[in-house]
Amino acid sequence: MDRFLNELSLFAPAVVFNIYFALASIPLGFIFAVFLALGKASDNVLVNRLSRGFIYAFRGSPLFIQFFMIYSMMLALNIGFWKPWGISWFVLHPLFIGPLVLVLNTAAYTAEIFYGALRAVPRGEVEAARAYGMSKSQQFRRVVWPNLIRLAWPAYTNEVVFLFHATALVYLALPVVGQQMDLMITAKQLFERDYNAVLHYSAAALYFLAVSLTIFFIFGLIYARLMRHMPAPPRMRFKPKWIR
Amino acid sequence: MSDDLAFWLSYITNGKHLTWYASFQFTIFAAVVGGALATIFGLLGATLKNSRFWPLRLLGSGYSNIVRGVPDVLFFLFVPLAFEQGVEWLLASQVCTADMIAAQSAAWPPCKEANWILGTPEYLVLASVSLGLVYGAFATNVIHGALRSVPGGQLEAARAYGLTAAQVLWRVQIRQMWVYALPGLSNVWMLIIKSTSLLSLLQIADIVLWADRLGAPNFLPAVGLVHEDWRWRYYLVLFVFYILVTFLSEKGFEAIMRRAGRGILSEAR
Repeated sequence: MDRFLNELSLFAPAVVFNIYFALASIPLGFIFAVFLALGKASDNVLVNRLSRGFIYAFRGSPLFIQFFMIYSMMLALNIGFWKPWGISWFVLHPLFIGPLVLVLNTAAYTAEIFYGALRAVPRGEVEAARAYGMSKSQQFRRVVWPNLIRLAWPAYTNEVVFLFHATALVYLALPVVGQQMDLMITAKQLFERDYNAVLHYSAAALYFLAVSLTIFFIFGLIYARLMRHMPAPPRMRFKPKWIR
Repeated sequence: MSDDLAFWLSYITNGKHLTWYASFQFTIFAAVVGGALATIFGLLGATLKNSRFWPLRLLGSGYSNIVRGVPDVLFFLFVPLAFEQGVEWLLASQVCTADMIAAQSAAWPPCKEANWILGTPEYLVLASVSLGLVYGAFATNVIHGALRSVPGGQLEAARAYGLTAAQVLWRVQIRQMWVYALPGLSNVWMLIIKSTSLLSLLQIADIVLWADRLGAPNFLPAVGLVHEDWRWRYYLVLFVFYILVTFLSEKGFEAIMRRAGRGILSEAR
């Protein structure tokens, strides 16, 4: 038991990195996803094609390959751009590239969720808003967006949990700088030291499970707040779906 | 111009590149075997979840919830490593004597004789089983939902004909379940394809590892073409490859769903 508590304390600094990656990429990915979803629903052929292509490419390929691809591209641009500009220490750092790739990836998945919700917004409500003489932006802010976010929230919660799981891949694909190690690398290093797979990996798994449940709890509270006008607010259940 | 073309043709068909192309077989093997196993584990898990005996029900839902609650890569790495260790531990309890254990300096295995060395084929099989176990948990969820979508009247009719519970399950419920499960299973299949990119983490010389080796900068003319860091080109190829595979699978599943949905009301799908 003592050994297990000790093990958990070893992982405590590591989980900070996973949380950092998730926190850094969730807000940006959210904003990017809104624009992508609107782009996919847009009538402009170019915008429509571009957003569709982006969403398809990043949903259709493994995150692991995306990490390698974007990191190697950044490396290839190093001599031409980053070095002369003197920012290579920053641009090539895993703490920058990790969130960058995660943002691109989660934006594609989230945009697909938002696009589905956008199409499910009741047509009558939009028509009523038009009949009231609301401008396009008013329609979006007052009618479409509130509907969209409520429809999309349960699926978006799953996406955030999966994004947190995806942070496990960051340091498996990118170089580890100094002592900056996330849960997976810590587990791997401890495993290579004493070959106790069950102990180390289950400690890491417990951390992942705990943070996932926390995310779920917080997002459930937000959902309850979003749905406070409903007579009996629908409850969310911890049910990671197969969307991703 | 034609010289250039001939040069590039010979470059992309040199020995190293041919090994790279050959290594696609590992990815395809892992995807196909992993997918088949995931379906089997999914069926097993869903049957457990539907069981009338509560410990089995608990086992089924525990399996699907815990595996889906932790990252797939963690489980994917854990299963082969833990299995290897388990075998070595069993072996050690049989073959190791006290002197052998005293002579061993490393932390694991207990003695050198109990060491089980795994090559690419063994790791590939373990990785496929691991993929099957991980995504079987997702398939459990899908199949469990699909089993419950089969119209109750069908099951009642089967029972009225005097079929036993097992017969109802296997001959009516599971036969009809596929139509409802296919959209979810197609998603699980996409997940499996994408996670085949993780094989290199288990020291399998798969497409990702070879792309890395081939693209690494080379400054020695004796080794081959001198070039700078070309890794991004090779990763771009893999990126496009995976998108193509996803596209083809989508088309394939559409065709299967059309075929499986014959004779079933379209609102059911």
